[in-house]
Amino acid sequence: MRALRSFLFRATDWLFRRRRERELAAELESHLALHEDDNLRDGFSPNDARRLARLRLGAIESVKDQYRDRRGLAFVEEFVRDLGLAWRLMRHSPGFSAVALTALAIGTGSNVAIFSLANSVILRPMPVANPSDIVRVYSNTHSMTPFASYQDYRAASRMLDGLAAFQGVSLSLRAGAEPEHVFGMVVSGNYFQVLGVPAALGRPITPADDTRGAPGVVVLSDRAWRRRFGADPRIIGTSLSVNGQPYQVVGVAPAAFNGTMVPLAPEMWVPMHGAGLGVTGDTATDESRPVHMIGRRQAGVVVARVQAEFDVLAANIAAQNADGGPIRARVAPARTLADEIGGGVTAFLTLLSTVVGLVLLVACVNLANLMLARAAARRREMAVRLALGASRGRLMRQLLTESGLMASLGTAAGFCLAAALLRVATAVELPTPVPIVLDLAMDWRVVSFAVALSCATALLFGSMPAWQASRTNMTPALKDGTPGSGRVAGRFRAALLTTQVAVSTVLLVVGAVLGRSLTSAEAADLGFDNRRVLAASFDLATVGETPATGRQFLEALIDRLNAAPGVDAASVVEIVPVTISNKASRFVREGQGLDPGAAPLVLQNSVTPGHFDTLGISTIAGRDFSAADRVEATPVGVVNETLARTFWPDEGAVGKRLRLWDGPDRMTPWIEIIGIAKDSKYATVGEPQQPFLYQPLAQDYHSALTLLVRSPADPMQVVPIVRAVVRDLNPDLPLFNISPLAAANAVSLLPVQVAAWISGVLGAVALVLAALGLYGVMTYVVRQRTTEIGLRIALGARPSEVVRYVTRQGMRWTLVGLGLGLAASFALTRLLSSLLYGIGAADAVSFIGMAALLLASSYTACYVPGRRASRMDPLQALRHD
Amino acid sequence: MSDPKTDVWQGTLALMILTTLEAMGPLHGYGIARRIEQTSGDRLALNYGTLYPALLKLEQEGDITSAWGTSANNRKAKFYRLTRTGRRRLERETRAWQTTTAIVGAFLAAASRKPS
Repeated sequence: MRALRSFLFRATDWLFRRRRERELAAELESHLALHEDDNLRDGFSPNDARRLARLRLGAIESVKDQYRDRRGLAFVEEFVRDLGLAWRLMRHSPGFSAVALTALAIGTGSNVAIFSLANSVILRPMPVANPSDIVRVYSNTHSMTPFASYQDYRAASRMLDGLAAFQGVSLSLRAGAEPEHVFGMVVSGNYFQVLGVPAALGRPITPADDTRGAPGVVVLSDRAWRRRFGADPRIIGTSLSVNGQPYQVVGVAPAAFNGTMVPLAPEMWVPMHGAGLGVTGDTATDESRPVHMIGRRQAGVVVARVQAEFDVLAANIAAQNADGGPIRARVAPARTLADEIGGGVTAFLTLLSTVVGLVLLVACVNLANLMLARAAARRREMAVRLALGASRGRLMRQLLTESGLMASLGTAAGFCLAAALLRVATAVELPTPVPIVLDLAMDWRVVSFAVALSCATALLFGSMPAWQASRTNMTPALKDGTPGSGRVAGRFRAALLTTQVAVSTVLLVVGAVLGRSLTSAEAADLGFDNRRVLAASFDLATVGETPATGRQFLEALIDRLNAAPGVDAASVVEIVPVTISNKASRFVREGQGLDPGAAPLVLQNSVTPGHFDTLGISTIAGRDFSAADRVEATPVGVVNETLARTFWPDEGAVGKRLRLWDGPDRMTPWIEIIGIAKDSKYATVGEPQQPFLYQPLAQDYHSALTLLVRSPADPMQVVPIVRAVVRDLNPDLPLFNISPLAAANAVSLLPVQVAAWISGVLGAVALVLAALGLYGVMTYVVRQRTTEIGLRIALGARPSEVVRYVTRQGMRWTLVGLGLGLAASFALTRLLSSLLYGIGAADAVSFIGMAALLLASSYTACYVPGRRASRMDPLQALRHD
Repeated sequence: MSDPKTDVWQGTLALMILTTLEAMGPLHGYGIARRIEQTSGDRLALNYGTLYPALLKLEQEGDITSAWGTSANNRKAKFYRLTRTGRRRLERETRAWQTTTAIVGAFLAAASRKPS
């Protein structure tokens, strides 16, 4: 009762706090007056009467503080008051605030952006019903499972509430005039049911769709529905041509659901059996095609029990297939994307987070620096407040409120920055053959992260200055406003600035080294001529070509293209050179041992006749493939110089024979070497020369291929001709990834490019932060030493001398940081040397260039406050404190 | 003045204020402070400032009320007056205090009788 009454009293008091404040002042004033009257009556002089009365009342500020603590909701009130003060302080020094907020926005923004990425990959569960119950079942550790085994598992499992199968496929979709290549998923009929994903529109695929002879149905992804069909709800029920067959659109998936191979986003789902398109068909061989498996645990069944069940099931299946090796099944939870795609991604994200964490650290160090400098400038204010009876805890609270406000505003700005950044990133279409879609939307996790980040940031850059400021020693600080006891602060500040310069040096040098490596890689000789060559991919399996008909198709395609106007040469390859992809086998030379362990490795590609002409690779011995090198003819191959020189250094390789290990216990027939081609680059620009073997596509057939067409002018101009020729041969065959070969080759540099960009951008950001930090500190140093500098000017120091005096100190810090940074960079670039192309790890241009850039920016940052100091009016400066 | 002055214990100040108001009727802060000093025979070092937070606490808890008025020498001052709740609290705390001092006194007496 008493407590409640007290609380109500306090609450109303708080509402009328201004009046109460006035009343207390009036009451204390009346107290003093009464006491003074008494003292006068006791015979004191008026002056003494007043002084004694004050003395006996004690520290008025402290009384007021105690009074306030008792009165009203002290904590809230104090906080609101501190907040107001902090806000006024920020507005009072807009330059300082702008610098601080920019630094914070950059620091927190990059962290929030990376966290959103990590969130979508590691933290956010799949957008399915009860994602915690979802498990993936792999063969061995991470492999797919033959369809036949999937059916066995599915029929036998008692621990799962359903086991679904899926597989990514290339599909040919014809909605408009040209057939298009789309990435789709073939799924078992229970796929949507097991995942618990309803259709956003229409219906999902059901088990009834997944029977032999059932009419073809397709569920579109939300993305495909919007992009290809303008989000038209009337699409349901219409018919599309998929791989040349009619398919009825029955539904559209929810927007959040991008399938179960994220980040690869299928545009459509089709049932496995429907209309003979699925991965299983009528023949026994189709039953062995591999599928991915995903299941749902029954309520209350732990993963270990499912694993135990599948151990038994896998053993049974292995026992039935006497010819196959041992089979194991692995059951793994698949709640999030990271469970799905494995540890490498987590490692990559960790690296990214570390880097952006470093940026935030630089920003915080920077701010701590500025705050320390400012705290030094406010030592008098602190000392006065301490003298008036404010407690140290009270001062620290106020200073922390200041940094808290700054951190909150900075984080809010950073959050907006990250949102903008992610919007741009999501809009960018990566040059990948399969659309990659990551749901980077910001959810409550991102918001909580930002809030936590803001608190941590405030503590990080606010606590040290707050602690130092509240430790202010009253007497010397009151006596003079100049530093003296701020030695520790000064040393700490110097250490912070030095660290900062060092960190930005490292980032800049690494960025520069990677960038220069990239430039030399772009100018590198690939060993083939990629100018004026067009690349266009296609997959003969999407239009139902068998190897036999496929070979005929290829022959006709090359013949027609060679005859077409505007085409100099054309060939088809399995692997487009210098696009990172590669294929390798161990091989055995005739007359050598068969030990697969000792067999050397050879990179391979399968090409049609005319390949060397198309890419301008000369054959230095023997001949090119010809139309006569058919599947039934003698197997032949063309090797590169390196292979020929390494294994037949004396007698020449032409006419020699080799065979490849085609599996753990299988070998290809003998392949006769008919020619030697000049060395070129095969997978990446930076690779060392390796042995290489070309085989004719006719003898080593593949269905997923790329057409290379050399034209006399801009390669994109032959696109209509190529399209016309392909359409003539098969109107349903889509061409995709149509681009100049040079552009495709440039994509191979993407990883290094990304690394160089990240490092360079972060370095630039760090440089800006360091310069801003230096500028801020120098400005404060100048302000603090106004008297001293004014004195120097009054005593006749020339402006240039003043500038030199001010800049000298800042540059000393810079030089120490630069030295440390260069040493660290040297160590780091040596670690990166495997990524570098054409330049050494200690690349002088990068090191000297970045050092110069850093010195120039630092000098500017010191020069501006120095120049301002040199222009000050000595009279005013001397009156300053 | 050479006697070391006793500090006012936390909590006893409230009791002193209530007793003073009981004895003197409505009184302003300065008056209460002087009265407490006088009653203690100047043996208490009361920092006058500390009186006001204590007065506020009592007022918040409903033991006293306040109103502005005019002092004997015509100064505006805030006068505090004991409420019924305050009177009850005073009685209760006086009894509790007397009991406590009686017990402590008995102990001290027993200790001083002990042969040394």
